[in-house]
Amino acid sequence: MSVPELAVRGLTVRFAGITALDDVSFTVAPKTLHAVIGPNGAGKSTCFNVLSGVYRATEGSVTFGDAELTKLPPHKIASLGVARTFQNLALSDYLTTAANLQLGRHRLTRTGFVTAGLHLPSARREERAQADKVREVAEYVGITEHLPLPVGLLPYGVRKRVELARALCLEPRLLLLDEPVAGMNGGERRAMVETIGRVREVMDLSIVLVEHDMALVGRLADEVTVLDFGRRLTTGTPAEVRRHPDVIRAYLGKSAEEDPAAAPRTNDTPAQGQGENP
Amino acid sequence: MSRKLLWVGAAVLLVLPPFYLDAFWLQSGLFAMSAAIGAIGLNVLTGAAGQLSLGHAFFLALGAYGYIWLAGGDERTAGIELTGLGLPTLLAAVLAVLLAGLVGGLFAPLAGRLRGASLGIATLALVFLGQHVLFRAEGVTGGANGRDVPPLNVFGLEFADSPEPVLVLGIPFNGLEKLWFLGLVLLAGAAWFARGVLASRPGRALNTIRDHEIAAGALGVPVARTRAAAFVLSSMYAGLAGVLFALIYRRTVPDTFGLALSLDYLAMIVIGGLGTVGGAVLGAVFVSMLQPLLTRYADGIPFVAASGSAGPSPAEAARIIYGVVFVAVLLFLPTGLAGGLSRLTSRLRRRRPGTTPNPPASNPSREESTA
Repeated sequence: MSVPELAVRGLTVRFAGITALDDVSFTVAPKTLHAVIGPNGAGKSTCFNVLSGVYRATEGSVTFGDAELTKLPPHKIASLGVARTFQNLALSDYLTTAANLQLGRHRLTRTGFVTAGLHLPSARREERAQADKVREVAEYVGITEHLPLPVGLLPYGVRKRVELARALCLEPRLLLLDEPVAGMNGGERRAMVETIGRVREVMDLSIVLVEHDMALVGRLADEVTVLDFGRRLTTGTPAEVRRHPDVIRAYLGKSAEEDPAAAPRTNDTPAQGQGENP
Repeated sequence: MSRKLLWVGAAVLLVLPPFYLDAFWLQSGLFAMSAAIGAIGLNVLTGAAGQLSLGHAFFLALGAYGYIWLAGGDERTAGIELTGLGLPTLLAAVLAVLLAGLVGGLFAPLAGRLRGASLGIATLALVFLGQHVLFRAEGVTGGANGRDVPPLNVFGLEFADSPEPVLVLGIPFNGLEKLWFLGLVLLAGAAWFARGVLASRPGRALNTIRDHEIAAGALGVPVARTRAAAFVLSSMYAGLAGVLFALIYRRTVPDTFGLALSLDYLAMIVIGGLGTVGGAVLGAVFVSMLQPLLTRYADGIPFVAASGSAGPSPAEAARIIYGVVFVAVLLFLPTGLAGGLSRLTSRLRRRRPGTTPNPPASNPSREESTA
């Protein structure tokens, strides 16, 4: 399956007088990793929620190939091969890891209420085939040992990996990662970055990544779009963006302008990552 | 292996009652079976999908009166012209279940969009609407006096008392004895079907809608349609429970299908355990056997008045007790009786040497499917 281009054009989202996104445009070339960064409240998560159909756009368009995403409900967007993870984890805690991953297979499977209820052979066959596929993905992400355990019992870092694995189970052409390393410790971060890097090398997909961690963005992203107060400041390679005066101002305030060396370097900028969203 | 043995033992135990127990207990047991079928349906909706329904009694009524009207003939009793289609009773029973599903489907625009407690309020309206119609549509329901239920006839086997009942092992097999086995078959089928649904793709989708609606949508689950489907399935279970209910009591009155019945069903699944078939069955048996037990043994139980004397009647006492149990379960057994039971057995098994401990997951069917 080929990976089309994702084009965001003039995207505006308003909630009752508040403009969360204001005329934002950027393009994600096929099979690249595009990072969306910005300070808290810049509109990154809003942007994601429009891409995955959770929020409606007030104006503007988002096209993925021929499909206009702003007109589709979330499940139709998913069926185009758009998968996402959530900043604050959205797993079913009572279900096992395996069952959570199987849900990622939903769009690629058929079994309905009647076939499942009647225990038809086709339903069992599909269930077994999906279990194999799930194990494959779990191995890839390194969570095989956790498959039989309820997700609620797993540590936070592992649950973040489960979310990634669940999204990969969709066999996405576009993967939306909302702060995949937020709240992780150093070791977990490194492992996650390594996994994401491997995913983009091996799999046929584009990735859009929302992140605060500039070091991670610098290492993984082909292109970076910077948002501030709902507006796009700039788009460019990580190095370009890091030197951009507007970006420096947005991150460090006006005084930093005189000292370009103090560009938003990385992890040691105060951890902005956690709990931005309600 | 021991699990299989357990099932065989349970099956044998369930076959015995018609040979040993009198009509009172058979009727109570049958009522518990009917309740269990209804509770399984409600547990698919409320337990697995997190959608509150207070309208379960309405769909039970649809099943019960649907059957009566479809199977009954035109007649005149107590000054009321009753109508009926006079269909073969088996066909009428099937159609009554489908009717409940159909009406559940008509409710789909609401059942799909409303979430959790909001759906509870909307379905509350159904109960009152149902009550109104049941009392007013006298030609169909017989009004406040109710209407007789035509006995079910399956290919010549009539589920009714006859002047010369068949003897099975020396026991005369009347309507209740025969219905007992029909109830067992229906309950087993209903449980089997629901387990299949809950343990595979649709069940997981329902669970995820309950746990995280937005994630469910983002993963490709059509949230509204899946919720509506769960509502239809739950309605059909209620319809089937209603048909069985009507067959057991042979006469139905509108008062039965009020809000209290809906609340009973909610109590069943909460007490038994949300989201599992076993929980629904356990809860249904507990709630529906409490009153007959208290009625039979009222003399021996303090505080419960025998009929005619002062103090809470068995029916009231049953409600008080299950109210207390309801609260206790909410506080101390969040997974209900079924969850508590499975934890207990796994703890016992762990204590016994040489057996492997159970993994902490509470639903065995799910483990089988994913192991």
